[in-house]
Amino acid sequence: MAPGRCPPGIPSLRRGAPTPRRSPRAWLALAAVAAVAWPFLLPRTTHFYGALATVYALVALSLVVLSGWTGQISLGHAAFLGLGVYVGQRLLHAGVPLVVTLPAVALLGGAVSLVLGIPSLRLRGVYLTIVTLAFGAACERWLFALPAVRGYKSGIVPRATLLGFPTTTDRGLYLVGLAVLGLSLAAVHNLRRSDVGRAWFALRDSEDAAAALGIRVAPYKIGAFALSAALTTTAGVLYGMLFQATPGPSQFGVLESFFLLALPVVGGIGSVAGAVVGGALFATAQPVVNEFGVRLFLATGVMLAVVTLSRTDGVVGAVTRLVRAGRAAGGPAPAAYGSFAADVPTPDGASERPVIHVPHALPAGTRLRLRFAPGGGRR
Amino acid sequence: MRGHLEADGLSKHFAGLVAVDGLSLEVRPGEIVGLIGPNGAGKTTFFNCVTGLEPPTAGRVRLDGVDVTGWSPAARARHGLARTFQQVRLFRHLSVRENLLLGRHQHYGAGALQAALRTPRARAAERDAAARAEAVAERCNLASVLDAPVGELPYGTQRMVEVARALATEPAVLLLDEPAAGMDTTESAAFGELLRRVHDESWSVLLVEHDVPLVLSVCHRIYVLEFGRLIAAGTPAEIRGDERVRAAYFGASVG
Amino acid sequence: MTQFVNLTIAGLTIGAVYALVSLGVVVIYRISRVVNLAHGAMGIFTTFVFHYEFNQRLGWPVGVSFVATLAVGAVLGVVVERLFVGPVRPDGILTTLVMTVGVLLILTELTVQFWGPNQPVIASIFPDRTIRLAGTGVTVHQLGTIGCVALLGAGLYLLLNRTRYGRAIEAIAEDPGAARIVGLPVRLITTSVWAIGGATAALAGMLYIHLNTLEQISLTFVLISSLVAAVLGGFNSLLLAVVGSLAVGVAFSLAQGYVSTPGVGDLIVFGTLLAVLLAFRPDQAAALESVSEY
Repeated sequence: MAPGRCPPGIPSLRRGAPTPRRSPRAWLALAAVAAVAWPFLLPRTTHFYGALATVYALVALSLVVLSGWTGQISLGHAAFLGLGVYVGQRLLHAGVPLVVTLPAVALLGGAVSLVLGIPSLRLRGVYLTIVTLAFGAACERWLFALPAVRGYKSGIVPRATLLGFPTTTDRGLYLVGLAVLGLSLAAVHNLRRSDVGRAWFALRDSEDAAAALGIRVAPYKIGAFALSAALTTTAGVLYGMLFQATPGPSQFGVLESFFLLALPVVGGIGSVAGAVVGGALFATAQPVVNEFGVRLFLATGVMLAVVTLSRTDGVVGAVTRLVRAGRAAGGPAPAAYGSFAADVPTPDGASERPVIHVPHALPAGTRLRLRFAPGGGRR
Repeated sequence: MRGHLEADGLSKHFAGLVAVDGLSLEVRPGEIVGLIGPNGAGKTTFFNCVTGLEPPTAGRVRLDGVDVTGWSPAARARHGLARTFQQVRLFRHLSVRENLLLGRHQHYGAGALQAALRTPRARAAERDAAARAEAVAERCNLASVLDAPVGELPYGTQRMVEVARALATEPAVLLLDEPAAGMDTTESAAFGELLRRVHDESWSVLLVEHDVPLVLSVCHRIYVLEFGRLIAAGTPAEIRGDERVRAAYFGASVG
Repeated sequence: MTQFVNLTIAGLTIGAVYALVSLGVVVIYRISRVVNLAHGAMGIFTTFVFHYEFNQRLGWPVGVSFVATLAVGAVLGVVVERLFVGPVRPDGILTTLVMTVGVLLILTELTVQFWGPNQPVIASIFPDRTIRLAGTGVTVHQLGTIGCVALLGAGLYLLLNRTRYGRAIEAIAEDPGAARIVGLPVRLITTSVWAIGGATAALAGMLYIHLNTLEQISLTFVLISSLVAAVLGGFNSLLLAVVGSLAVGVAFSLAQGYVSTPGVGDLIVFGTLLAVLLAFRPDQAAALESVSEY
């Protein structure tokens, strides 16, 4: 290695390296099998909650993308859920096959989201959030009251088949929901690990720095809104099918939007896993809170407050932290960065600060002995 | 040849204040040019005009022959103008590696749909970006911190990450906004060394700085600004001996 | 014509209530740089205490209950700040916003949990009389509400802009560390401002509940109040918050009265809000400055 000055501030050996993101294939496969198999092992009454969990997970996922990654908090997302319910009902009732209804409704949701996406280019922070609040209220009280959207003789939502696969049972609907969720999770996960996901984060952290890298703000912000809306609207179709009825607009109002935001926040808004955890958690929460005589939204508010106070990224964040702490406690802490600078006296009395690159993790406190071959070494 | 930056008669007036007054300077391809001047000389304002953050009151900015006056910062970035910020603006929710990968945004070989489907093309794009990001990290001595969360790094290292990220865009011109701010003399000297080492003729640098020793040691040519006007221009040796520059700095050590 | 006057007066009254909440939101924003979405919910909660606990269960005279409720409101403001909002403020604006959403949910649901889902019919704190004005009848409640806003608005304006207390608030908001060094009692002032805010919300709640018998409580309350403070004041101007609230109230009332399509009022609010925000882009330096952290 050619001797030279080391760059400013070489970090010393430290603990707690963040693990690079990689999906452990074995765990995923196991989870997939479990997800498909459990409704065949557990009683029929549980299947409803499974289906509800897929709906909630989809909504939570949409908010992970929009609020978690792109940093645009939406307090009006129940509007998209409601849109999916009402339009989905009309299409399904009219006989449109489910395999067409789902993408059609998704596209509609994306289109409607432009009402928020385009202003988002000029508004930031709290102002945009308040606009989403107003949007939610306007949808609840005006859009969903329009005969064109809702006014319909029958509010029944049929349990349509998906390419022949029946959804008449809750288990069938769950499996369909699982398929939709699975595809969405994969797509979103892929986006996260690509330039698109990084661009979303860049816009969240510093639009100026993003601009300096040539990133165009508009497609990413509008795209995040559109994707988020599309996922939630699609979830709405399944939601309607699950309840086999269309609830009144007041079910898709401001409180519901707050509840939907809580799904990923409690689960962990930074990651796709958080969406799944949050969705499953809240889907199964209703019977639990009933046992204690506590209202669901009250429990939701408490959980929101607790998670926010705890400064972890929801359940997923807390678990990750515990796992890391466990690993650290279980043995000597691995060093994070494998290079350090040592002051080495040279024959002429000056000192050189060569950079030594250590390719393996070392426990803290390890002493290293350096030997220099005459004539310098190679890195 | 890429990397030709020209500012032509740039002026910026604020209400009652002339911050920059008819400044013309040039960065030729492959050069490292410094811009120094005492506090309030107008360096930051000039910088903002060149990067597109503020429109000049008069004058033009040209990049490789193209008049970019009036272009947005993002448009200029896409044309090859990279920059760093006075206060390091790294993406704190991303690791160093992902920050550098974002530097490859303009050269990314796959679109959103392909990325979502993880097509072979998307995978290739990601591999290519990763390889180039690692190469840049290697050149800037950042290979060891690639997976570190940005917030945990020492300030000097963060500064280097920002420069590396800008380099990853394969810029024609790199504008550095007081990169040595917050560094001590050893660190800034090391920074200068590194800059010289990674620089080659395919791109040029405009270094706006307060740290005069750094500028004198690194730059091929230097412009000196005072009260929005150019008072000297030349090689480091010429600037070191220039009476006007000495006078402008009044007791700040020059050279 | 009479309908117009009636609707306008009703609109002014409801607008006045929104203004009261807006004032609280602005005041809290001024000290903590926090948009307290839960403000309306705080008001509603305290009002339920007023009605069910002080009036009904304890049977206190209205005047006593009124004062006690203001105190409860103040305490609630302090509790929200110390236990919920204060601790998460350093984590950034988005996190704090999410926290206020949590507080809103908690308070809103607690009211139902404790006192049931039904909207109580609350007697006005003002005597039940009607005065003839502009060719129509105006209740003392309506006049009183508008009067409250005028008084409170003026009082807060003076407090925030013309006293050392107000200047201290500005200093603390801008740089709490520096304020502390200079010797300002930061904790005390912050707590007192939230107490004022909480009491204001309580007042607004007591005035609101009497007016409102059909709407689902607190949601419109929450929305409109924070919206108006946002749009027009940039969260900073008391005057604009009041004027805007009154305008929104009147517009809402007229829309509901003249147009038969349901929800037109909400649509107009949304559209106007968007238009104004896009056109004027209020100064959001403080809103933007912090890095968003979860």
